Amino acid sequence: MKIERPPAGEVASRASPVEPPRLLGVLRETKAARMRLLAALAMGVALVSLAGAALGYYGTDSNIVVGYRPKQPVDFSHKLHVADLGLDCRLCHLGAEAGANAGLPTTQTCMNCHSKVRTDSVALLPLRATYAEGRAIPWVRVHNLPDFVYFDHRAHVSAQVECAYCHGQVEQMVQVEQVKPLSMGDCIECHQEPRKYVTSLSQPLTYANQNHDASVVLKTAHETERDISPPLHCSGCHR
Amino acid sequence: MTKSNGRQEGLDARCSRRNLLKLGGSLTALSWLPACRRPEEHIVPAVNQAEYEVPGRPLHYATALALMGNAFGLLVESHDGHPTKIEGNPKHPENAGKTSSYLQAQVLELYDSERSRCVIENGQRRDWAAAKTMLATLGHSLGTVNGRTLALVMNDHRSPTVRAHVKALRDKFPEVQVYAYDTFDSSLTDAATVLAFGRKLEPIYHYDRVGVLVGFDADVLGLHGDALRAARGWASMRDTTEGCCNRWYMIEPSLTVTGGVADHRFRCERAELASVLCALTAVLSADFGIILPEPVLRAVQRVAGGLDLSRWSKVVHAMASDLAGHQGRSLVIVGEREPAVTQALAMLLNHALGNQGQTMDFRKAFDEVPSGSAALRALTDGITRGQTKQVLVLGGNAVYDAPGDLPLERLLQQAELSVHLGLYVDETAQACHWHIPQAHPLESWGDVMSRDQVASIVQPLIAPLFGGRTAVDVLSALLGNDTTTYRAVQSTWQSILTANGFDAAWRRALHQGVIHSASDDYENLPPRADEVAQLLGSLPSIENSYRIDFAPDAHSYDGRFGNNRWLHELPEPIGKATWGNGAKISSQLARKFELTDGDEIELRAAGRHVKVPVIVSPGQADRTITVSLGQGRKVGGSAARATGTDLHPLRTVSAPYSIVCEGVERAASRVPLARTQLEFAMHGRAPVKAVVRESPKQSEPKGQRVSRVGAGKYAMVIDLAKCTGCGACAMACQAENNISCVGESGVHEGRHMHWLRLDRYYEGNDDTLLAMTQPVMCQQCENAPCEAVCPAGATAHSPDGLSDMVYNRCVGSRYCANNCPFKARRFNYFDYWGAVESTRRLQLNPDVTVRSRGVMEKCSFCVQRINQGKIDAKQQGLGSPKDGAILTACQQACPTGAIVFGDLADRDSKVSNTMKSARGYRLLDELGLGNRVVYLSIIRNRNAEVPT
Repeated sequence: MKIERPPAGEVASRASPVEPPRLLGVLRETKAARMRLLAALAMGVALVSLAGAALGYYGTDSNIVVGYRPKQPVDFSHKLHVADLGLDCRLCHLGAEAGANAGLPTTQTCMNCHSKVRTDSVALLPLRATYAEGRAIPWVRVHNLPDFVYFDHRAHVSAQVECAYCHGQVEQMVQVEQVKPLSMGDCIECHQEPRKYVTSLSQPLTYANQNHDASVVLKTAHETERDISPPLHCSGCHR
Repeated sequence: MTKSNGRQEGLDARCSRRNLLKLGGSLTALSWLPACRRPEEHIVPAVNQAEYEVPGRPLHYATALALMGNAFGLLVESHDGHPTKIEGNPKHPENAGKTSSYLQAQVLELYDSERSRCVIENGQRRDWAAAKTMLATLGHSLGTVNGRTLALVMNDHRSPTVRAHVKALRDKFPEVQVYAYDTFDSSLTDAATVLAFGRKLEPIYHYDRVGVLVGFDADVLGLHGDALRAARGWASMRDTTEGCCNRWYMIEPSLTVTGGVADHRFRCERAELASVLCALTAVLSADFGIILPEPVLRAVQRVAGGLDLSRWSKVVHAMASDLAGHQGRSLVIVGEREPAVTQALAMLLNHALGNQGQTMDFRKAFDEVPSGSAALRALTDGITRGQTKQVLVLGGNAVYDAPGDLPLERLLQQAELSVHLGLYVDETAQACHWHIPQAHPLESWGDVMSRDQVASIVQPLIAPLFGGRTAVDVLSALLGNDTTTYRAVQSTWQSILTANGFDAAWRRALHQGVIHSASDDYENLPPRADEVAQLLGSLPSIENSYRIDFAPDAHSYDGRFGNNRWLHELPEPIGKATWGNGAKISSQLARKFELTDGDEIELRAAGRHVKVPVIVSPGQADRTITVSLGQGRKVGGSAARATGTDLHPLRTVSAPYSIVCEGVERAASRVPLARTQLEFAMHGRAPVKAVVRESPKQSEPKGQRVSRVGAGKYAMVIDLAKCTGCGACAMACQAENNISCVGESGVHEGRHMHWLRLDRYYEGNDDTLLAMTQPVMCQQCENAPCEAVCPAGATAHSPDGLSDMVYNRCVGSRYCANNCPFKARRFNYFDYWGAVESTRRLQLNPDVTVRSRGVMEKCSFCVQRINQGKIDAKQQGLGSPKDGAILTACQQACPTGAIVFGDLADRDSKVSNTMKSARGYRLLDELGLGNRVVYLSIIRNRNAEVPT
């Protein structure tokens, strides 16, 4: 690198140019010291890359949120209610078709059955107690999108996206857990090629029918006439 | 290894330091990794399922609100049981789905955590049961004196149920005195109708039938109970596609919203207004054969005599010829703050011009209760004489807004018992022995009746947040009834709502928001001239002294919205001042006293004096100083106390709205007002264009049509010929899009956050000054200069043609704002939401991100509404939303329908058609940005006879 010589007047105006003290500056003296510096640098770089790789792999949503299975205030088993008894998702999550949020059922919805069924169950004690006192049940949120994401269940259900595509086979879960990272990558994957993931209009959504398996649900819909144009621009989801 | 010079070694050393830091940083990050657990969040569904409630979908409830002596139908958006946004009810004929800034801001008032929270007796905290006992005891004690010792002061009295309760009270105790008091009410108009017709009547104007209107300080498009109806009517006659156009003349001392958009505006001293009206009457009679009673003509000629003929004769003649040419299709209207006799003369003139029954009708007054400052004088006299011992103030803040010569505060303290029902612990609450928190109209049952006698049920959107009570509760307790307001309102309407049984009819009334539409039973009586003539004769001649004119405040109206931060920060339509008020003075007066904006003057009147900062206002009459009432509160919320100057002390009972100034002095101090616009000249660049139309046959003015923009869909057309600059759009935008307030200091630093601002420019000289207003928001440029410079990719174009703003990507470089030629982008310099209390947060629109510090924001064309519209359309099996299915918040609020929004891809959509207008142009079109907002130029329908 060529350094331009400053004009004479400027040099004259400077007092004896003193090199500012630098970190590890003393090691500059010998070749061995330089080698040690290089080795330290190489080790540093290796460590940083390792740390970066570790963070990149373990620090992502797929490792932090997938498998999240919090304990709920009432031991509600989706397996029992959906797979064994055959209830429909929409019986409780009534916003899934009509609103942005699928929503959780009110205690009243539970009590529609449980005022008659299993009235002496110990597991249902918290349900009966809170209902009698008029207290709400603080369910623990499993699937959580960031606040700047505006996901609309209604849009996806009406486009024939199976619940299981995002939520997994909830009907097989005793305790609900998250199966997908629900990252932006997940959204974009489907929004880029929606036809791979939506169900044919002729085949009604299964709403977690116990007999379905993912390969059936996610098969390609061969319907050219359907207008499936999910947004790929920012304001489609962020606003 | 090459031999390195010092510089390279220096580089090495820096690199290793950086690496060390990197290493340290990564290790720290790694050490946090095991702690990466999701914070536990809860979903708390309700215990019982609410009717019609679907998670994530708002519900809309019809209700109504009384304001400014009128009532308006509302549709309130409610998310999960809490109201977030107010829209107009399209079924209500008064506002037909539109709103004003005051109506929009009501939802903020509901959540104001500084509202009164408990019953107070002489500074001690009590409960409603104690207040109820006190009222019942009072009720018992009144029986022995026939109620003679009780006085009732009502506020915004438009409720049939309250009226029925007052009647019940009077039936039980015949001598109870009942008064109604609002700073700005129609008491002088009532007096005028008594003069002209012998009874109290309410004039109803049909602005949509008016071809020629002459207004005398009548700001009907501004701070007026008729504003929404007037704006709609005015705009309907300015639709050039209809081929007709109205012509409005305004004669006023201070530039108002109405004067600004008129076709001709003449500056006139407050004291001269009556003379100009008389001159107009005289010319109409002498030159155009309009027949008026002889005594009136004699009086009119005498009053008109004092007028400066060189200035007025041609103007008056031109107006008279226009009025005479539009008999039955014209209107002469005098402001509600003008003396009763002037208003009565206008009623006579309208009758003579054949307008009564055509462009105006009269209705029976809602109630006969005495009102105005005279009523307040009767109250204070009663207390002083010792006849009135108990005072019940049902709403309002009479101690603050009473004229300065009424010692109401002292008298209320002196009375045996004084009770105040109010939203805030304000001046009146402090003066009274008891204070009862009032329920907000959005949290209580009730009913209201509009001026045109359209009745609506008021239904609560939420249970009272702070345990408020209604006026009906207080009156019921006094009467010893144990009914709820809900039952009381039902019993009022029991006999009227009978179709298919009461329950069905009641539910229908609640659902529709109106009980019945306006009927045709007007009380159009022939006017009587004698009293008017007699009083005209006693009008004082034009004086040469200064006058102080009292006008409502654009921010707090009469003080009631004193704690509403949205309204304080919404720039006043003319002077663009926020957070505070000032005295509007003419440039001539400013030169005389060497004053500039913000210098304080001391005004003297009625033996009292007040110091107030000046606003040098173009178009202001030289000898009229206009001040606004409603600021400078001493008690009340923190925002109310912090702002402005109280000018009530200068008023008197006999001169409530205009008083002779006893002296103007320059004070040494300066209080600069926080204004959002400081430059009002266009400097020849014409961002706002106006076309002049002088021939009645000329329909669409010639011009260059705008080219269509690219492939994207959405676009907006704003017809400036219909924009009054009222500010409803800006307030609707603030409510819809979670826009924060920055406070007075923030506005001083130019950090106000409004996505939609109203730029205002002047046209003409002082005597004929007109205003030009232009709403400016993000222009959604097709070649957006902001997008090209964003280093983070946080703003990008969507295939719909919108310039998307992605808050979560924004790093706050502010390059985009610097590159925006319209200054449409706003930056969050602070975390404006951090300190906001929890009740206030209930207002936030859950469909829009609440922006944090360091993030840029801007108008998104209400993309949340666009997305909802698209999803709706898809669910209904439509390809794209129907034209008109998506309304932006500003468009939905705009009282004149000046904003058109829609899909350009649809060639038949309203926006596609409106854009074809020859008046269309784009802002800074020479930059080639392809703005998606197109403006249509203003139309001035000038009368060629008026000298320029």
